[in-house]
Amino acid sequence: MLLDPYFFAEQVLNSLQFSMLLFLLAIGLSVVFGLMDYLNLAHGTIYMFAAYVAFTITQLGGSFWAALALAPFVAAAVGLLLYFLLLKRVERSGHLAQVLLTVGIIYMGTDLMRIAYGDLPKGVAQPDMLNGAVNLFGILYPSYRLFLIGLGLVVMIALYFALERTRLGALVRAGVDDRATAETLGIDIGKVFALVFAIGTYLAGVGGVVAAPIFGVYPGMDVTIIILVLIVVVVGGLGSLKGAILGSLLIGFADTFGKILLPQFAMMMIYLVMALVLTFRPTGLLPARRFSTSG
Amino acid sequence: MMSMMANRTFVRRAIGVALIVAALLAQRFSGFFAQELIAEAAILGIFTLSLDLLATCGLVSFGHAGLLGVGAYIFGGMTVLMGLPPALAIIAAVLGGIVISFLVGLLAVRTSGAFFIMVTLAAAEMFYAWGFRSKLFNGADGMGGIPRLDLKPIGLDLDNPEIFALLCIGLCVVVWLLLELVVASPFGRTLAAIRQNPSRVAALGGRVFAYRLAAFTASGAIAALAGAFKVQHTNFISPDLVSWFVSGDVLIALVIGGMGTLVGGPLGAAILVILKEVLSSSFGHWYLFLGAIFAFVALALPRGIVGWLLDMIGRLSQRKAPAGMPGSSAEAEQ
Amino acid sequence: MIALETRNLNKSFGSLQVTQNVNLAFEQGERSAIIGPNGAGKTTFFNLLAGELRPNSGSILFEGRDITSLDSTSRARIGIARSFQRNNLFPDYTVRENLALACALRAGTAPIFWRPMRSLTSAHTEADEVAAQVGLQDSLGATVRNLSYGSQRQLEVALALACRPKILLLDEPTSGMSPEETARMHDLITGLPRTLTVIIIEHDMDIVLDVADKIAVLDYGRVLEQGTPAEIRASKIVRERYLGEDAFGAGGAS
Repeated sequence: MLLDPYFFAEQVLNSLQFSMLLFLLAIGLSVVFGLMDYLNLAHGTIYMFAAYVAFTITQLGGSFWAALALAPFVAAAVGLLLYFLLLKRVERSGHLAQVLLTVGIIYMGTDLMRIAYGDLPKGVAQPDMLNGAVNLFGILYPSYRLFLIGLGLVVMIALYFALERTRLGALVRAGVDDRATAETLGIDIGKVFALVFAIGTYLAGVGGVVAAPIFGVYPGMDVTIIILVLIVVVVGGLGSLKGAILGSLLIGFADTFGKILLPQFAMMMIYLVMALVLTFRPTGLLPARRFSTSG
Repeated sequence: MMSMMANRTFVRRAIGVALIVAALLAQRFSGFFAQELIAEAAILGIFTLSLDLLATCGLVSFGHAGLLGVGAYIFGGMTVLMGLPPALAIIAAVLGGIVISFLVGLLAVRTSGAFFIMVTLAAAEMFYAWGFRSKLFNGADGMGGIPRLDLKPIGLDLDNPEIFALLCIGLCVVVWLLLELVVASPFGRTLAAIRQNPSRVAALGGRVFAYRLAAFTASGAIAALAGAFKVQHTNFISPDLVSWFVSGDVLIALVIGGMGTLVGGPLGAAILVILKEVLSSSFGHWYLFLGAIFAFVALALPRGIVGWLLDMIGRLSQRKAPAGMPGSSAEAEQ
Repeated sequence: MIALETRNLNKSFGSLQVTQNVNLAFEQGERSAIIGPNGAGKTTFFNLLAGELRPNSGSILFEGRDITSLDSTSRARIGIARSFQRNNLFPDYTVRENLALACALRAGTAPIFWRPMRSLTSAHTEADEVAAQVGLQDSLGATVRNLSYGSQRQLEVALALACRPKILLLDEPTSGMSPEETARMHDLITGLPRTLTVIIIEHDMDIVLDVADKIAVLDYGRVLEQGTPAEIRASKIVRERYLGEDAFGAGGAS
């Protein structure tokens, strides 16, 4: 089956498309993790929330584009609210308090969405202009999915320039590299972190909106994705853009091809990739800073 | 003069004794249904102890349900599929737990922190994927009819929920006492030193990898033991037992009670079991309330209930200590 | 007998060469000092000796045996112990617990899991002795995180001593210490048994010139000069490049 070049090419595109979605979530989680050593499991809740906001906007007669323009900002606002009200308070209490708090937020978020929207999955329609398919060298590929790949690439490039060429980017890199030194240089890491957090949740929100037409909107979509995103982050290495990109690609491809090669054990492929990577690189492929074994 | 550490150890053990008394009183004076909850809490208690032993050397597993599942599936397979006696199956389950955790540990303990969390999660999820498809064990539908240990020759009928609950409490106490011994031993003190500063232990000639692997393996044995009793309790085995929700539950019970305190785990287990029961029977969307309580505990008691108690007592006794005496800050002493 | 020797040792981080072709030999029982400006690669050199870093090329010989491939744990076990430039202790433990643990690790009793730690009487006796040796006998029960910086420095050295090493590497043992504490550390180093080989990184020239039998000057990862204190004092290149004319005025007066 994989020998059919058309089928193969289509699967490559599918993998790319899923990788881009993973990337939209992974980059925020990874930088927050690398910068503040903060394990924010509720990142997926923001993704789910944005998807529901997008659903609501389209229900109210808004277009997909309106949802894409608005919902991520709502998500980022809610993310910042969560950050200042709750998350910030366990910044220095260690991973476990962070896990407990963010699992609590996941539980609350899921049930709140259930109360508001019910248990059944909701659909968000693709924008009309992307309803067709594009002929790519003989493969008919859905336009919407191509749009996703393009969007992911644009975000990657934008982030690359933001991180490498702007003052904020320099601050973030300095903070990820050596927080103590950055602080002694007078950098207000707290402000940098809030901004990074806002951008990260904004991108998770973008992910939620664009995922909605493909996967649907349902309670529990946050947990499904967050596990994959966490795997992307540890495979890629903490706090680095290149790591997040590489990790997303690896896991996106492993997921898509795993489902074809081992339909019974699709997740198995992903976990195998992760186990292999961490056997040889215990801190991931491209971490922003080399951690010692002392952590 | 009582040293700070002896003081903290004393308080921890006192809490443990109080918890045992409370469990026995609850067991003695409550009805049929409560017996089930007591057994459930005691088994989860054993499971938290297994996780806390691992945490002693600074490793937090998010896939401990996998090791619970090893014990559960070995027990279920040997008793139901092979017709072997449950006593033998318990021993095999623990041995299986040792072997599997040793093999997984060879890979996993090379990492630490969030990476360790994810590797253990991955290992458990692979097991889950297998269990989900396993024809032998009826896949996702699960397999029932799992027998309990036969102690009728010594006059104990474990199919009686009261007696089974009592046995589970007893087992939890035995595991707790064993671990109290281990954490106070040179081995346990080395594990705690590794948690504080692994690179210095290495520089002093300690094989950090070997210690961590030993802790992971011992932890796996206890988790498998908990798994063998978990399936005796429910008489049922399914891949849900291995899902990350179960790994999350045990972690959360431990964090609520207080990681690194041993007694905190069973206390957190009891609280979690009671909370879930009360909330689920009172509210439709009870996860909303459970989540709120988790968040509250994380914000108010980030070191758990026992950790908070120890901190309080530490502060009180420091105030009483004569000025200038080098006191101890209330850090976890194990 | 040569206790420790490096041959053509090289280490670089990316394009930055921090150890360049270092050939040094340390006689058994000798006190050697490594000096040089900040960033000269002194601590990197120690990390190479202790096995915390691997050289890019070259070899390290311990009593004639090539130990380049041994990790830090194995080197500690064959008798190379070090103290760290930044305090690297067990902050939740008391002084006695820190030292008893080090003694138990050395004696091979640390894996015991069936008896309580306090039953290891020899480890505790030894811990008390080492504490007394560095002047910490009155702080045995104090938790390390509450200890003064100077006392933590003393414990840093004591942990290395508790390994009963053949070779002791001391990385700036007196940095940040008060004059009294420095004097005590000075006495401690001079009082160490002559069977022990000591290599010390130190900025305090009084101590270096008084304690060291031999001095090696590192500069940009290279051995600029080596010899007896008198030879180093006389070395023109060292005077120019590192010490400055005045340094010996102060150092020589003591």
